[in-house]
Amino acid sequence: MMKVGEKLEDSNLISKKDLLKKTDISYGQLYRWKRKDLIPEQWFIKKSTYTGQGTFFPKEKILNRISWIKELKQEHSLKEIAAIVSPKPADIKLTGSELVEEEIITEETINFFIEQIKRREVYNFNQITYMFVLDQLITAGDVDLEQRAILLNTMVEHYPKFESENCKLIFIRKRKVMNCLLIADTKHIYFDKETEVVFSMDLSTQIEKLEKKLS
Amino acid sequence: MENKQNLRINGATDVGGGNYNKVVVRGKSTLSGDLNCVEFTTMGLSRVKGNLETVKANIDGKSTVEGILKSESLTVKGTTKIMGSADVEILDIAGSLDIKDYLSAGEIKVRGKLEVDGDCEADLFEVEGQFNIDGLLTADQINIQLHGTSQAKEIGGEKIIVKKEVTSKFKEFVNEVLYFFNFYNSAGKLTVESIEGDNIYLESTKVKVVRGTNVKIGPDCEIEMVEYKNKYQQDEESKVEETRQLG
Repeated sequence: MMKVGEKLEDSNLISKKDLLKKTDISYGQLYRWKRKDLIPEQWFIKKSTYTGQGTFFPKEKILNRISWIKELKQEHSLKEIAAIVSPKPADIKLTGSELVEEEIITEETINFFIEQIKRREVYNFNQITYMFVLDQLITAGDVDLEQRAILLNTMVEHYPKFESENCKLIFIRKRKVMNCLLIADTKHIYFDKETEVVFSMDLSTQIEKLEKKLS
Repeated sequence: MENKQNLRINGATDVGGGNYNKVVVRGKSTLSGDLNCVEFTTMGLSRVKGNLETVKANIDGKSTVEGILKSESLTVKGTTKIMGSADVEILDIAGSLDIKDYLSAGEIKVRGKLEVDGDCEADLFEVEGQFNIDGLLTADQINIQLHGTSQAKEIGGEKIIVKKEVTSKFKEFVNEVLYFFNFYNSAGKLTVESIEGDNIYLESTKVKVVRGTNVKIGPDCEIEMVEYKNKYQQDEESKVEETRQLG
């Protein structure tokens, strides 16, 4: 749970220099992985520092990604790794029973999806993402039926508009009225004192989790 | 299986876009739509008012693509302008290529002039000519033999080599005379804001920051700061304001 008015941004950034030192990779590797789409362009954040312009990265995301790449590199080509880490594996299509059997989505959530949206023969990656996010939220804490419905419907309607842009899912509440927002990752957002941020979830992290489960 | 036709244009003829096998423009032609073909050759003047997707593109005259270009190979012996981005496996420029968006390639060989308004990325980037890249130039191997002035906003890669212009003794003498009279001809210089790589060798380069594992600064360089990890060598004649070894 977040405090009222808390800034929703990655206050934890790591400089390129510190990153290379910490992960023990070279400039050549970093640039190559960027070219091969292993590291999203949006993660390269330019900021003015006292020494001039510097490049920074979202700390947790980049460290996780690099250790993941190093692990995958032992068995996969860079091209294969790009397919695994890329946020749009368009070719994934699974049936409801497959999703439950493989323990990717709970049966309860699939049924909720069918009830709220529509029953489908196979579910595509976006739809699986919505259900996965819902599952993660239910596991993390109290999410009543109303919130679940709002969440699913908001994602179904608006998530595809983000295409390959990473975004955050935010639930806010003011005087018993719940609102759900989807906002691009790089934007700052602030609320008035009476608005409570019920939760804030970074979707790219969830998608990575889901991809790991699917691979 | 579709049996695609060839399209040969001689004289001045405007056509629509479409799907073809070999397209050869020997005269002057505007193709008013997306063009998808196996081979695209211009020996005159051509304009594609859309995207061009082909396997082999050969420009020996002047060609403009108003959309994006996707090709396995692109050879430019004349002048080519692409208003969108370009995605090419093997790019060979002996003339002039101007790309208004980004360039993504496997191998790039420039013996003429390359202009990119966005980023330029490749596995191999070899220049014996001139380039002007508004964004980031990145490749595993970057080999630059300067001819005239070149610039990029930033350069990043694994192995980066920049060599100064090869001139005749006479040209060098003329330059020295000009320098003496304060008319320095700064031909043959590369200007960049930052260069980052694993193994870097620079000549005739003006750059703010150089960061690398092994850095060797040759003659004629003007650098504000070098940060290196392992090895560092510097030519006496070059100006390097600050050097720092990183732990």
